[in-house]
Order: sequence, then structure tokens, then C-alpha cells
Amino acid sequence: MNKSGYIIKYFEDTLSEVELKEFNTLLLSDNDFKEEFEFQKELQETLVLNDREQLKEEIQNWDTTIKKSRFKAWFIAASLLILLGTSWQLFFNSPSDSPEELYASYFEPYRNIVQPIVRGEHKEDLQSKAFEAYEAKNYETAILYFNDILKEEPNAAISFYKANTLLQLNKTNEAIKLLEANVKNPDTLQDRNLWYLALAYLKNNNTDATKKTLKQLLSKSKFKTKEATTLIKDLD
Amino acid sequence: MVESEILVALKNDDKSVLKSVYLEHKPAFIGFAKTYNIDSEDALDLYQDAIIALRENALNGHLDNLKSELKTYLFSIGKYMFYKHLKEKKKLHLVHSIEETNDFDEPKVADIDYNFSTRQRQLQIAFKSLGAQCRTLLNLFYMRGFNLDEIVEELNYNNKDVAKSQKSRCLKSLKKIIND
Repeated sequence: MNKSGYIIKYFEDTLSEVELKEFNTLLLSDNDFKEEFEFQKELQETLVLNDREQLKEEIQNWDTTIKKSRFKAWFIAASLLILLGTSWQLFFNSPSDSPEELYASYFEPYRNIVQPIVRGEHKEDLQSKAFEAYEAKNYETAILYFNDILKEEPNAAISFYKANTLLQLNKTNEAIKLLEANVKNPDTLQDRNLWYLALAYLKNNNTDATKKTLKQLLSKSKFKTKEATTLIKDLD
Repeated sequence: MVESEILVALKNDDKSVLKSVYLEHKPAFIGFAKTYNIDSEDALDLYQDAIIALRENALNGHLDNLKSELKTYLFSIGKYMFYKHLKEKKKLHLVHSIEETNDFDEPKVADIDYNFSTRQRQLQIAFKSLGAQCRTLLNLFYMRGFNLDEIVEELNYNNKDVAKSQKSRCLKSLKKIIND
């Protein structure tokens, strides 16, 4: 049997007792063999996790009536509150809020969906540290880690979170510059970037740019459709 | 659908059957979790993980000779997850200390976590950029545990050698994506 035959039989669970011994000997004596086997083993673990992750997402879509997940529930609650707030305001026809106030009522930092943080687990890599800080609202620290990550290579998701963090730190102009660059990339988080860009313009009192960006968002995606629509109305 | 048919469908990875199992037992499961003082949000999360564990066990053949009802089995997976959850939250009360059970189908429950290592994330991204045929083949072989003969049948290859060389081509492209 050639070497790859042993690996195939390992995964098929069909190695005989003698073959298993030979397999183990190869693992100890042949580095290439060991490396190839470990690669495939890692792939197997990855595919199990990948499948699980996909199924979990799928299951969450099966729940049509009950709150989908903690985030979703929180998100729906928050959107409802905002809607309630804005419709109450429309109803009583109160004088419009200033852009600054509107910004405050619409802005909330985007949740971390990149790096799941497991309580009590301290991971050492930069990305984990960055998101640990982000979730703990230590934005000054988070920005340092995001910068470190971006120094190594461009990363659209990290750029998006960096912009969010800049907004939190009231570095609005810097955030706008980054978001304006981010929205040019149609592949990653374009709708999220547009939403936060609109809010950033709003914070700078640039309501025309806000409206224009919101309209761009509405034409491209369903993300924040309701909020974007009411916000445009608020500004008119 | 009788229970034996459900089990066969689950083993064949029939998602619509899995969905109906999921919806059928959800209210009872969440109620069951309540008796352990688990709130409904956590309960839903744990229920989803229990369904994922149920599916993984079905695919691995652990349910082939199931003697108890599917619901009983699903709930004993749940019970295991409740204990683990409460232990993590350090809320395990004496009332619910783990007692020896005499169930015949004490389920083997893999811990359902979603923690990719950095290397595994890299592999996942590379895997997702492979063509559909490679993704299917590699999933069948590594995740679903099909042997090459079963893959020949499933994917209509001419023979085992074709399946084998196709598989090694897929692994090669995967490595190329990672190393480029």
C-alpha cells in the first residue's frame, strides 16, 4: 500500500491491526507523512466546525416567531425603541432634534461578530485582544490593536470596526476618511459601512451628505432600512 | 413520518426533517430547561446546540440502534448540556447534582463549541473558496465519514481511482490557496 493509502484508510476507519502498526511507524519515522496526515486531520476538524457554524446560522432562521438570539433580540428591542421614539416624535410634531441629538439616538457601536469571545478565556492573538477590548468598551486599547492588525495586512472587517471605534472616540473626521474608503469595497460590509458613514456625516452636521449616503444604503441593501427611512424623514 | 424513517432521514442529512424535529420539540425543551432555572434565551441557545449534537450523532451512526424515543434521546443530550452550562455558570444546585442514570441510550455528546484556531479559520476560508465539487467531496469524506466507494456512488464517479485522484487534486488546490 502506498503512503496516501494509509491515510485514506485511517479516515475511512478501515486500517487493519497490522496496517495500524505500520501507520504508526510511518508517523514516527516519516516527517512528510506526518505533516500530510496532520494537515488532513486539521482539515477534518475545520470542516466539522465549519458545518456546525453554518447549521447554527441556519437554525436561527428556523425560528420565525421567537427571538432569534440574544443579539437579535437586543437588536430588535433597540430598533423598536428607536422607532417608537421617532414615531412619537412625528406624532406630536415636536421641533426636530439637532443632528447631534439624532446622531446620539441612532448610533450604537456595531456588535462584534468577527471574534467570538468566550468568557474566562484569554487568547493571546491580536485579533482576540482587539475584540476583547472592543467588547469591554475599552476603545482606546481596541484602536491600538486594530492598528497593529492593519499594519500587517489590509483587512476589511477590521477597518470597519476601527471606524466604529473612532466614532466612539469622537474622532469623527478620521472615521469619515476610513469609512469613505471602506464603502468603495462592495464585497465586505458595504451596507454597514454606509450606515455608519451616514451617521458620521450627521455628527459633523453634514445633513446633505447624510441623506445622500442613506439613500445609497437603501438602494443597495435591506440593512437598517427602517432606521434609514425614518432618519431621512427626520432630516427633511 | 414514523420514528425509524426520521432516523434514516437524519442520517442522510435531510435538513427539512431536522427542522421539523427542531420545531416539534422546542417548546417542551425550553420548558424542561426552565426546571433547571435556565432562562429561555440560554435555553434556546442550548437547544440549538443539542439539535446540532443530535445531527452530528445521527451522521456518525450513533443513532443507528436507538432504543429509546428520539425525544428522550434529544432531552438527555439537553440534560448533559444543562449540567455543563450550570457548572460553567457555577449555579449547579444540589437538587440537580448529576445522578447515575439507567437510560439505555446514554448519548455520547461532543462539546458543541465554535472555537476555530487561527489556522482553522485560515483553512475554512481557503475551503470556502474551492469549487463546489471539491467542497462536496471533501465534506463527504472528512465530515460525513463517507468512504471512497460511497463517494463514487454519491457523486457518480466512474470508479474509486477517479474519486481518489479528484480528492488529492482538491487537497492540492486547498494547500495552494493557503500558501499563495
